[in-house]
Order: sequence, then structure tokens, then C-alpha cells
Amino acid sequence: MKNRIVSAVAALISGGLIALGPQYLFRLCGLIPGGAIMRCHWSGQAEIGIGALIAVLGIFLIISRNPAYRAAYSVSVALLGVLALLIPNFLIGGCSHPEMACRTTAFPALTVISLLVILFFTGNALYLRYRKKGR
Amino acid sequence: MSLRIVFGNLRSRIYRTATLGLITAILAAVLFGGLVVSSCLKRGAEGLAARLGADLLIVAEGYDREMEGILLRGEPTSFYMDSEWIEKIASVDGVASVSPQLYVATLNSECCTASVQLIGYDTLSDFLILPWIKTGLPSKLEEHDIVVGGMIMGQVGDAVKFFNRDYRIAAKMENTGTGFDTSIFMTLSAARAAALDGYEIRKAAFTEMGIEYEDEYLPVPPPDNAISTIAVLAAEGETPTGILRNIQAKYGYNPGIVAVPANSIINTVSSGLRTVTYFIGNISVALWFISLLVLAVLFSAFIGERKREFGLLRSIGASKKKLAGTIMLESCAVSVIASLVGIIAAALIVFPFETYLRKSINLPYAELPLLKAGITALFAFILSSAAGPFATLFSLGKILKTDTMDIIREDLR
Repeated sequence: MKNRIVSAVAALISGGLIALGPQYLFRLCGLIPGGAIMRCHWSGQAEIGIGALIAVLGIFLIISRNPAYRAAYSVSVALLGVLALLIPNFLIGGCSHPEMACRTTAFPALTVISLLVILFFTGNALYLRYRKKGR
Repeated sequence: MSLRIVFGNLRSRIYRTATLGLITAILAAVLFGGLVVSSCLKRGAEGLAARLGADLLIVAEGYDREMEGILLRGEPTSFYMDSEWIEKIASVDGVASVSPQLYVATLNSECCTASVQLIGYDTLSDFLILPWIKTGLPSKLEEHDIVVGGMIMGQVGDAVKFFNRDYRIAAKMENTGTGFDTSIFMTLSAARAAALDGYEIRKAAFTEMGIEYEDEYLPVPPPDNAISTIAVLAAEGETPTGILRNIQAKYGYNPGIVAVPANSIINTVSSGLRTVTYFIGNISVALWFISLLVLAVLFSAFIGERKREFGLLRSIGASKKKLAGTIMLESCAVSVIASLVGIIAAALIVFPFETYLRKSINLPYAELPLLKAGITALFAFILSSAAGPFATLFSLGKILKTDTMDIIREDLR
């Protein structure tokens, strides 16, 4: 029960931060005067989808009683964490200037959260797979 | 001695373990974070000293602060002086060579809402930019070629647009930890064209808004052959102060230019650096001793709580040495794991948020090479993970000196 609650809460919080953080908390760059959209905006949009998926998996983690299923959900969250890490850093990227808001706060925050998601849920999957029965 | 017993003991007293771990982790995080930030600042100051390969920088009167802002923090700005000063300064006694530069701040480029500093340099007389170019520079820098600072994203061959004009990245500079890392370099004539482009775009924008252009507060066009600074190298045996005197002797005390010795800029940075490193150093040392004290008190209290357990273990044959070994191993296990957690947590802040820290501290800040970062982590790890076992020693002596019967008797009282 403890594992279900802890992993679900972790997934809901990290999913929420990945999806909504760049929009409201550690914000991406604004629009260029004239209305042009910068590249980091699209990274933020992609992260909304990934964060939402992580949060949905968090709900599955608390519903499911079968440790094998929860291990599989944890692997999925960890893989989504890898995607959340790759999008701002490699797949889509952000603004060229190193002192833009996206590169000083939003992307570093997403990188840290994604790394923590990968570490935590890989550990959780291994724990659920190899823990001794009865515990 | 089984590690299982040690970890079993730690797990059975989870709050105690968490308290000890938290203190050690905070100590490790502060030590590692503090050491990394001060090392980056030191490297930044060294980078600045090396980067300022000039002895003296000449700017138009009133713009010395702006120049310092560009050098130290990369704050984009545009200012001009007459190019006739190149010849005038070159003819001053004690001057070995001069090289002009032109600073132009862009409007929003296609990529960013932030303004970028364009720096035009004279490719023939330059002695400042060339030593820092990391990737191969083409033999001749064309009008549309640019050299980007080490922190600007983009690779050699990529296209960039400023003031509606297309440029190509011809080379990339090494990281210097100074404002030049976020600047873009081009030929002097290309920078003059960019300055004119910028003026024309502003003028068009004002005209579109119906603002009369003759207003004194509106932008002024860059003068023909405009430059912003002249970097001066002193001849052998000549000092910057000597050249300063020679300039005053030749052109009077108020010639409309200011000569800033490179040393004075470095001194400004050094004094800022001293304040920050002094603060970080003192905090780290104070925290280490406070942690040691708190850990010693906590260990003493926790060992006191377990007197009965130790008494029983002694009565069934556990030697004092074995008992001491178990306690020490418990302390080592908590300290090692907590130190690792603390260092990783600090690394997740100081490395990804490096640019944010650099902007907040407002001093030259150069990133740490991997090997140096590894050595720093090892140093912080040793210091923080030693605090726990060291603090345990104080309490351990108490247990070792007490007789088994006394322990049990004291517990029964």
C-alpha cells in the first residue's frame, strides 16, 4: 500500500510539474514582439502531453494492486521521463541565446525533474520486480 | 560482521537514521555546492585576466561602465567613438599595437527576444579574439561570417539572422566565463553595416508610428567608420599608467576619451570574488563544525537510548570491539549514503542552473571541467562522510569505558 501511494504521488507531482511548470511556474520565453513563436514554446507544448501521460500513469499506479503491473507502469513513467529530458535538450530544443528564460530556468528545471523521474521509477520498477514476496 | 545487521538496525530506527542522514546530506550539499560555485568564480576571474589580453582599453568618455558591463556580464549595448582615435592612440609613446572594436546591441533576433551583443573586430590588427577561437577559422572572415561565443547555441555552418540580414557561423569561441561567451563577433565593416541596419529598422518603426524623427531622444545614426573601443598593448618596459600619462601629455586632460587599465577591471572582479568566496568558505567551515557538534549530540543521545541493547549484547558474549564496530559501521553507512545523496542533490542544482547562478552572482563564472568537478565531489564526499564517524567517536568512548554490569544496572535503575 505504501509503495502504491508513494509512487502514485510521485508520478502525479512530477507529471504535473512537467506539464504545467513551464507554463506557470518556471516559465518559458514569451512571444517575440510581432507575434512570432519561439522554438522553446513547442518544447513546452510537447511537455504538456508527456506530463499528462505521467500523471495518468500515476492514477494507474494507485489503482493497480498487482506488483507486476505497477512495475510495468513504473518502467513506462521512467521512459516518459527520458522523453521529457530529450525534448528540451535534443529533440526540439529552445532559444539560441543562453540567457533566455527557457535556458536559464525552464529547461534546467525540466532536466532535473526528468532525471529524478527516471531514477525514482527505474528504482521502483526494480524494487517491485525483485523484492521478496510477503513484504 | 554482517552488513545485514547494520542495515537492519538502521531500518528499525528509521526516524533516527533519517535525522542523521538529513544533517549529513545538507552538509555534503552545502560543501559541494559552495566549492563548485567558488571554483567556477575563480576560473571566471582567471578567464577574464587571460581574456583581457590588452593592457589598456580606450572608450569614449562616459562609456567605461558600459564597456565593463559587456566584458563582465555580456550586457548588450551600443556606443560609438570616432575612428580617428586609432591613429592618435597608435602614435602615443609606449604603445606597441592597437586594435579597434565596435559594439552593437541587436534588436530581437529571429531566435530570441533577448538582445545580443555584436562585436566587430579588426581581423588584421586583432590580438584579443583570435586566441579564443576553438574551431578552425576560415583564412578570411567574409562579411556574412560570424564567430559565436562559447555559450551561444548553434554549430559551425548554421545560419543566423540579425537586423533582417543573414549570417553564417564560421567559428566558435572557447568558454571564457566572461560576457564574451554570449557575444557574437564579426568583421568591423560587417558590424558597421549591422549598426546601420539597426538604425534604419528603428527609424522605420518610429516613422510607422508617426513619431517625428528629429526628436533628440530618438536613436542617432552610427558615425562613419564608427568604433567603440581601442584595445592597447603596451611596448616592453612600458606600464599602462605610463601610457595613460603619455596620452594626457599629448592630448590634454579632457580629450573626450577614457583610458581604462585592464588591471582595474580585473581588480573590480577580484574584490567581488573575494567577498563571495570568503562568504562561501566561512559558511562551509561553520556548517562543518555545527554538523559535527549536532551529530555528536545526536549520536550520544541515540547510543544512550540503546544502552540496554548493548548491555544485553555484551552479556551474551559480544565483545566491546564488535559492539564498537557495529556502531561505527552504522554511522559510516548513514554518512556515506547521505553524503552521496547530498552531493547529487547539489549537482542537480549547480550544474543545470549554471547560467541562472552566473546571472544572479553578476561576476565572471566559468564552468568546471568534468575532472575538476569529480575531484571537488570526492573532496566534499570525504569531508562530509567523515563528520558522522568522527562524531560517533565521542560517544563510542563512553560505551567502551563502561562495564557491562554498570550498563545493565544503570538501565534498570
